[in-house]
Parts: sequence; C-alpha cells; structure tokens
Amino acid sequence: MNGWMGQILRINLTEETVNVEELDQTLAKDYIGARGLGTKIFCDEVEPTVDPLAHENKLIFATGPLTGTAAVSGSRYNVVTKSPLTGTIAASNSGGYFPSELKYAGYDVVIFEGKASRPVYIVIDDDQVKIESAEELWGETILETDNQLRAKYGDNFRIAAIGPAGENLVKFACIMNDRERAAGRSGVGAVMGSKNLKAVIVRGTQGVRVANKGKFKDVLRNCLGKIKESGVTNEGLPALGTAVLVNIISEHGNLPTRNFQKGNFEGAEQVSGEALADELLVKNKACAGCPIGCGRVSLVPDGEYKGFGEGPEYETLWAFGPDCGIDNLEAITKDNFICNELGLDTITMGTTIACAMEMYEEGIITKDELGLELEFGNAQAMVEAVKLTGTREGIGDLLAEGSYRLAEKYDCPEYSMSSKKQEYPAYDPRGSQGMGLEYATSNRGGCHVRGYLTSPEILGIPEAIDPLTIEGKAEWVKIFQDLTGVVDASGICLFTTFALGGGDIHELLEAVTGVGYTEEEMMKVGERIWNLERLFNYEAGVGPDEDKLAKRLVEEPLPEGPAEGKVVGLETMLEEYYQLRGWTPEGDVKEEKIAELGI
Amino acid sequence: MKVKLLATLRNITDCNELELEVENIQEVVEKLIELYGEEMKTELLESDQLDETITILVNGRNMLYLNGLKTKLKRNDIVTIFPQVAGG
Repeated sequence: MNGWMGQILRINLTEETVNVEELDQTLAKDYIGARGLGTKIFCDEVEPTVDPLAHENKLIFATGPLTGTAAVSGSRYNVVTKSPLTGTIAASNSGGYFPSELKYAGYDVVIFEGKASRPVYIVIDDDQVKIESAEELWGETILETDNQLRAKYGDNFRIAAIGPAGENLVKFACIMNDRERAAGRSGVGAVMGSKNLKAVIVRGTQGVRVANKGKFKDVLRNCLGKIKESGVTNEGLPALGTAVLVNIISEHGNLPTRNFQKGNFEGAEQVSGEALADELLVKNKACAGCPIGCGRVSLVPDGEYKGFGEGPEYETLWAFGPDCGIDNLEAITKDNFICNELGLDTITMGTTIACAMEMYEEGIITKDELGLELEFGNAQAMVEAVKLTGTREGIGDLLAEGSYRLAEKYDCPEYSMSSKKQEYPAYDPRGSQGMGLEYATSNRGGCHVRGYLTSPEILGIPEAIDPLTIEGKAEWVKIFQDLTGVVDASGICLFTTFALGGGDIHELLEAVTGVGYTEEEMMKVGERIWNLERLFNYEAGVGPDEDKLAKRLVEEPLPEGPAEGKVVGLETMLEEYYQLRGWTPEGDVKEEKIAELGI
Repeated sequence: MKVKLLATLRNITDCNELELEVENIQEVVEKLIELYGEEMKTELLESDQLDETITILVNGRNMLYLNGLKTKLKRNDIVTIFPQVAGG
C-alpha cells in the first residue's frame, strides 16, 4: 500500500499478547486513517454502552496516510476511545514526532485492549514489541517518565505517556507525547490509566511509500508556496503563536470572561500573545515536518511561578486567564507547565476552576468545602487547585470530574459551560453564532476543532461572514465539520487549512495514496466519519437531545460589547443543519443516509 | 478616537495604540500611512486599495458590516486594526 503501512498492531494487555494484522484496504480507502479509520475500527469492535473505564473499552492510536510523509505538517495521530468525560466517542489529536515514528515502525493503527494486571509500558521497535513492567514509573510525572525511559532506551525512541492525572482517572487526563504535545481532550489519558498502561515508546526504521513521487513533489511545492504566502502561517503563527488571538477575540467581544459572564476581558493585553512574546517566550517549536512552528517554549525565570516548558497556547491562556478573571501571565504559564507534568487537559481544567469560582462567589460552594479561597482573580488558589486535581487530593477529587459533574453535585448544572459534559473552548458563541451550532453538534462535546467557524466569522478565512447572524451558518458548519474530518483522518495538522483548501488536501492524498479519490468522494469520507461518530453516540445513549448549549448561552444576553444583547439562535440553525445533513427533523440519522454513506 | 494596533502591526509602530482625530476609517488608514510611512503602506494596501487581509473593527464590529471605509467615527469610538491571523 502507498501512504498506509498496511498493518495493525493489536496488544491485549490482559493476556499480554501481541498480534499483527493486515489493514483492510477498502476500510482504509473509505475512512482514510487516524480519526476516521480509528473510529471505524473502534465502532466495529466496542459496544457503545461500554463503561469507558472498564477493560472492555479499547484505546486506539491511529495515524493517517500523510503522517510521516513530507506533506506539510504531516505529523498527527488520533487517539480514539469512548470518553469517560462525555460518554461519547473521543478522538483526540496530537502532533510532535511520536505519530510519524509509529508509521516508521510499520503500523497505521495500534489497538490496546483489556487491562494489564500491573502497570506496564510498551516498547515498539519495528517488529519487536514488548510489554514491560512500569511499576517504577507509576506515579511519576510526564517529564520524569520521559527522562527515565530516555535514559534507558536512548533518544531515538519517541514516547507517549500518561502522568499522575491519567493514573488517577481524572476524567480529562491527556496522553502526552514528545514530553509536551497533548492528545488533550475528552479524557483519553484516563482510559490509558484504567488499562494500567503508563507509556508507549516507539522506534521505526521504515519509510512511507508514496504512490506518485513526481506529483507529490509538485503538489508539495505548491502547498509550501501557499503556506509561505499566507500572513497567518508565515507571519502571525510563527511570531505570536496561537496566543495572537487573545486580544483579537477580546476586541470582538467574544472572549469568555469569568465563566462566560461577559465577552471581553479588561486584562486581555497582559495575557496576550504579544505580552507572551515580549515577556516569557524563549523560542518557537515545530512538530515534525512543519513549516509553521506555532509551538511556544516559555520561561518564568524566578518567583513563585518559576518554570520552563512548552506553552501556553491561546486556549490555555484563556482558560486560566480571562475565564478565571486572572491577568497574571506567569501564573497562567505555571499552570500550563503543571498540566503538562501531570497530564491534564488545560481547557477543561481552567474552565472547571472557572465554574467552581462562580459557584464560590454565588455562595453555592464554601471555602470549607474547597479548602481554597477560589474567587475570580485569585491566581495562587488557581495554581493550587490544578495541583490538587492531578492527584485527586482534597477538592481536587471533585474538580477531577470536570465542571458538569461538579455543578450537578450542587444541583446547579447551568454553571457548567459545556455541551455533552465537555467544556467549551475560548469563543463565546453569543458573539460568533456559527460556533454555537458547532459546539452543540460536535460529536465529542464542546469543542472548536470539529468545525472552526471562528475562522470565517472572526478571522475572515477563507472569507468573512457576519458573526452575529445565523443565516447560512448551518451550511458552513456542515462543510467545515466534514472537511475537518478529512484533515484529521489524513494525518496533517488542521492549521494548514488557514492556507490550504480542500483541493490541496485532495491532491496531497491523491499523490501519496494513489487510490483515485475525487474531491467529492474525499468530502464524502468526512461526512461518513461524522455520521459514524453520531451513530455511536446515539447507541451510547447520547442522542439528539444533547445537541444543546449551556442555558447561559441561549438565555442570558451578553451584557456589553459588539454582541451586547445577543444569545445564540440555536434552534433555527439546528433545524436547518439537520435538514442539510439529511437527518430527520428530530436529528436522527436516517437509514437511507447510512446506506448512502456505506457505513 | 483611540486606534488599537494588534499582532505584527506593532512591529511597525512600536506602540500598542494611539489617539487620532479623524472623520472616518479611510482617514485612519491614510493617517497611519502618513505617520509610519512605506512599511505601513505595504502592510495596509494592495494596489492602492485596503488589503483584503486587513481587518478593521469599530467598537468591536467589523467595518464590513458597518459602512466600510466610509464608516463615520465619533470621539469615543475605538478602532482596532490587525493583519490576517489565526490560531485555535
């Protein structure tokens, strides 16, 4: 096969057996790879009603055909499982170097099933696969785990691991790879922890075969030209990282502040990408084969928040900053470092603290219960709350359940800013209506990277559309969701789409795989993935009734700024969206749609 | 009114914001070019027209949904200008 390595590695942790299986070529063509192929295999093998933390749940690492090739930013893999946070399908995406190394070792997909009887890690060295005891690593941070494994195996191995948060089954624990890249959302790290699987280390010596090398070279030259021409991928992201958005989103009045109580933050400038570049940035960092290099490496040289490491990204700056009413850049950066060490999703961590802060200020939860003065703006208390969460100590045990379960326990779920129990990222949809539809319909709950409507609504890419209107948004959301499915499945980074279009992705896939997709067929793959995920969720008990938003977003108008007086017009957009998707007016996937897509 | 400059535009101005007394957005663009010269002109204009990749907000609202370059400005208005950027 070209693009694909043609092999699946299956590791049964209960039996401690390892098997290599041939990749079904039709399946690969129909679902491409990564999020698509991983989800298809997962849905074929796992009962949707499975307890996410039971041994019957499986954990799948899946790469795409462009992963490990010279395709721009072809460095991604997806972790697919059933999420302990949402109860839905989880597909969590990460870059770095680990994903390409999995391909070089000869595997498109690795399936972990069962549960080890003791803590273990896996060594994948081309076709030599071993299950080793991780008893000495259990309890260690990500960085310490990485250090110890490197000391033992050398720097040629790439490492993915969980930290204490994954071991302690924190519902939003990450799997970290290459020390500081995260398969961040939906608690995939907790599933890994539930299997007593501490780490996976991999080294490979094989290349990825390309179907049409001449065409690939031409397509690549064209794509790299577009990346270089784009102000976004050639200037903005390298210079200021994703954090460039802090000021811009705040100016638009949709930077969620103090648990989404308002949409602009008075301290935005202090926690902006510009401030980060001036004050803490040491250098940029790129994933394998990436010409953009949006990653940040930062240093807090001294003081109580002293530290060094990767980050913070826009989402992290926001979650620990404006959403918690905090304008202390050093404290936010410290929180990022702690999350990286413990293996915590910074979005859910920050927003869960923001939820607790509002509950505290409203008198719903007391200082005695919290053990902390967790009012908005208290940076010290926030940092302490993060540490407690990773180890589930004190109030950390409750925060580790995420904001929905926290607020539900106190009979006020409306304080959780989430859909399908996963917290929203850094865009208030009352000032970006299409994003509201995206949050409500996302198959993994509150999420911006399933259909990033901020791109046209706020950033004008690929064209500007009015963020405050609802007309035509359903179609935009559908197209973005389907195209994102293709990008995620292919193994390249979503950020390439700030410069590249669907046609470019199609040409890259064609040159590498040579399977003969038309562009329309490629988009059909995206739609197939979307519908398959939805069908899984339905069977898992998360149906169309959950296509909703937090009450605040549909009932409480934004109090000020350009979107003053606005709530999300979800009902109208949703009706149009279901129609465009070819579903019933109630949001159910019709049999004829299932047949049309060949699911 | 206050004019805020974001992202890489600050590399040209070396300041985050400035006060201008002008009538409309067109005059803001002209004034910025007058103050900061060729580098600002290259950043803001494409074939003597406002570059499509430049976003200009008036009190947080994109001028495209107001009256474009002709959008009139009042003393307390805040104008925000930035080049095409993205993140996520």
